[in-house]
Amino acid sequence: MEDFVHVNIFATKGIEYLVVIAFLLAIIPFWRYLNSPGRLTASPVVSSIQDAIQKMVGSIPKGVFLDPTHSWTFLEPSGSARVGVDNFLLAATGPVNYSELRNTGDKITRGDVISVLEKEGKQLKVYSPISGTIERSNRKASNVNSSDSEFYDQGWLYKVRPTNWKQEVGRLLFARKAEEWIKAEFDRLKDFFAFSTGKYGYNPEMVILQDGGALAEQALDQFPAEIWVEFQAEFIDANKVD
Amino acid sequence: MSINRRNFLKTLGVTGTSIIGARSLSASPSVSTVEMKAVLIDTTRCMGCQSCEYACAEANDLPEPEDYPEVDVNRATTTEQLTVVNGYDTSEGEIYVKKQCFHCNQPACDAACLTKAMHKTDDGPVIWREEKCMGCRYCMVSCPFEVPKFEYDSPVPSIRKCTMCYDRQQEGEIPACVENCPNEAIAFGTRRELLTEARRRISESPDQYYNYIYGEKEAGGTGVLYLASVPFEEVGFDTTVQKESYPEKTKGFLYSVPSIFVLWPMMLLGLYKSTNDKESEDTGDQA
Amino acid sequence: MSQIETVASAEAQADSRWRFLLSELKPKGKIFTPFNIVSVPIIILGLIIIFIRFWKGLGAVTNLSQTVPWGLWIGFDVVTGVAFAGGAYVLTFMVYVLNLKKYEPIVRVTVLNGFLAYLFYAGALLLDLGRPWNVINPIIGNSFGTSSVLFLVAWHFMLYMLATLIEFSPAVAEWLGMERARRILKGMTIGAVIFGITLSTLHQSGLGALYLMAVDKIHPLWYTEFIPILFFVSSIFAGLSMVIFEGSITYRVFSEKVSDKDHKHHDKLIFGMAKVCAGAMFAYLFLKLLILVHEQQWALLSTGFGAWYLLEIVGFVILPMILFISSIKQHNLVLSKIAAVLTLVGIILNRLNITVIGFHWDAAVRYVPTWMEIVVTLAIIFIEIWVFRWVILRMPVLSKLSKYRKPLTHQINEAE
Ligand code: SF4
Ligand code: SF4
Repeated sequence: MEDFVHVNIFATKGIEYLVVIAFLLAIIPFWRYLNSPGRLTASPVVSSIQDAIQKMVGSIPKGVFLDPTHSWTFLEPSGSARVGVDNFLLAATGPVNYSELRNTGDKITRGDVISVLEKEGKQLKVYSPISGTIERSNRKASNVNSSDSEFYDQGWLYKVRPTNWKQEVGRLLFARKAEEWIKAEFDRLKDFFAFSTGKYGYNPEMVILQDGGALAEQALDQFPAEIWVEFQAEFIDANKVD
Repeated sequence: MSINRRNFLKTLGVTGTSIIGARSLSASPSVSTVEMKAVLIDTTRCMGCQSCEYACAEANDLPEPEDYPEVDVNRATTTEQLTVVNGYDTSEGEIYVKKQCFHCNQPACDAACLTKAMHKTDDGPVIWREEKCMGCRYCMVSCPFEVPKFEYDSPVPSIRKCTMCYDRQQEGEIPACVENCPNEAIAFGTRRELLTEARRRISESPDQYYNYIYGEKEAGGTGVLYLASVPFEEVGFDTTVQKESYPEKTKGFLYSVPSIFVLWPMMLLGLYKSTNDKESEDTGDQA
Repeated sequence: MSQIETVASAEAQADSRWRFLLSELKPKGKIFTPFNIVSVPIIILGLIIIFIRFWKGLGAVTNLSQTVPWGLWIGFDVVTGVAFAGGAYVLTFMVYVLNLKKYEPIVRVTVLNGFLAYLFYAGALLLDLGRPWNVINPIIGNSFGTSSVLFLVAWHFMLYMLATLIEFSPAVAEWLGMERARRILKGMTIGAVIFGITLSTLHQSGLGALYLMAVDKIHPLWYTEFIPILFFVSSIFAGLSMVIFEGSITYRVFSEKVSDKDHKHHDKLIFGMAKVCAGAMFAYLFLKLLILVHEQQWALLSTGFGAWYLLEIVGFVILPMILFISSIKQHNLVLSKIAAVLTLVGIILNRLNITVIGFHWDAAVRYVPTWMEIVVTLAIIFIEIWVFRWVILRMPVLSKLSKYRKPLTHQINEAE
């Protein structure tokens, strides 16, 4: 039959090329969709706490002291000390409101509640690492990203004129020691989440990503108030040293 | 065709048909319904009178030929001579052979042409269309018989070759050379008829003919068939020409193109993902 | 800022962008360099020949014939030139897909080279077309010859130029100080890269596939059904050798554009690329051997063409491969550069053996290009170098922008 009538062996080439073009157009949205984060982890910034920690480790500037209850302080040349919440806490909670800010002129002692991190009614209390008189408070603190390099410059909550700096600061952590401690805290945090996840029957995908280690930032966000209470007890109150 | 397809699928499903059968059916997505026209040239009847050359020149508005067939002088077709008759000194005496485009069943020139200017019509003739051609000469590179000729000395060059008088055929006439051959050395008809006719001539006078029809199988079968009294290499034919069609040569490559277009991007994306995943926050260079 | 002011300043910005572009068009640097003295006459002569070609037809300037319809312009400019431009897809593959960041400093200049090579060498195709005004036919779609390998190759050329343009465009945006555009273009890079690699795979091999139907015309030692694969594999080391060769010239000529650190870094990259070349050549040799066995052509090796074939393989594939390897082992840059040049000669030989030298190898009258064909080829190469130089001197190709020119916005501010 081929010998007597014309047969075009390339007849469908044109259509095939059209299919190819369709494929190339489709592959972009397909790939985007395939790689977009699933619904449960679709919070505004999905990176991992590990990242945040990694950034924190090695970037704690000289002169910054960490309190085991996850606050920090830094003595300015002027003699007043910046006080703030460390980025371990902020990475765990994500963006929060700072409420119950103390007023300028208030006298505080080390261990006093100076601020409450609040998110949809769930709260964490934060204690002051030092004693002194509040000179200024920073209303813009919540605008500063915890992973910013400027964090220690801009992300402070209060400037405090310390009354007992030398002694109190002796109990705080700094430099290598602070970093090692943060890493250990992070490991503890993973266990904590894994445990709470099991306990409350939440989908582990919410906090623990596929590689089994990294935690979604704002992991705490996903948990109910009970876990916040436990977190307060486990990572803040239990760390109090006096 | 659709019935063939269905049958084919059925056989495939039930008996698992042979690869050959599958190929001929599945690889022929567009099968024409008209029978191809062809030309049969019987060199035993050709006297070398050049009537066909003159007729061709007239039909195509070309100058009359100025030379004539000489034994063992190979005249090639040119942009102004779309058909030529050559003489050969053979064991059976002088033989004259008319040459022109073979109008292949699966023409290399048609497959090569990126503008479809070279075009195998369903009726059989392979034609060239001026308004489409961009003069790349890929048809010339591909044609195994080196038939298409290019007007190198013109700023507005054309490709010239025999068209089997396609225009005349459209008007119901037969090719000029066929009409004007005084000795009926050239016959015109459907390829099927002419092959039967050629076989009949061979079997009726076996001592007059060498038992071979040149063009039946050459280059996948051609629309111009030849009979001769001597082996064809004696009369200037290339008998080493492959029997499959020439477009088959590029088929493998062209058929794989769409698959590569699908597989490569997917594979590369996967590779990209796997090598770039660690630094999810990396934005490349900062300005 | 009030609305009116914004508009006014936007206008001022647009206006000064034009002034900036005009000022950039002026030549920079000395005028009477040896290169200019050689290249300008050739370019002028080439343009005259091109004019004659369009006026009188191809026959007036070329030696092409009815049996050899493709000569130097296709065989060298297009087929060889495109193989040489293969470096762009190989490097973008290494940098963007494999994430080998160390090659990043040379990726821009290579992509620029690739783009210009396609623009000019594939543009040479237009000179060769008898009826170039019909070139739009297979583009706008009133005549899609989808069965043609050339159709595929032509389309790929156009699309690939687009892809390389996108890959290069962030540099243009930086030059013009268009930050927003730069970001958008940058985001398109990986897509363009992947598309570009796919296209390159297909048209590098497609250039070989062009000759598949010329089975009876090409010398059997070079004709094989595997030409497409050979072309693809050889384009890898052809392209990288070109990057090595070109890079060492560029880095010398435009030395002031490159920081010391980058100079040192560049040497390291050469060894890396030499390694890739050696690997690709190793595989290529075995492919050649396999094909020789498959086609059973070894008897031909004792003929004259066989010797020519062996010269190509031994002298210009095996030898440069060994040189590449020993240059890596001995940390000898010069060896790498020699190897790169040998490889390039080998690629020219190989491509010409298929397209010109081995094409109708048995014909009584051989095709030899006219001097005019050669001059046009040289003129095209020179024009490309001119454009390349123009770009290099202005856009942030070899180094980051800030090193030698303030971003446009600063200039605007200063002007006011
Ligand atoms: S002989 Fe050549 S020009 Fe004629 S149809 Fe066949 S391939 Fe085309
Ligand atoms: S020269 Fe014309 S007819 Fe021949 S392949 Fe090119 S476009 Fe087609």
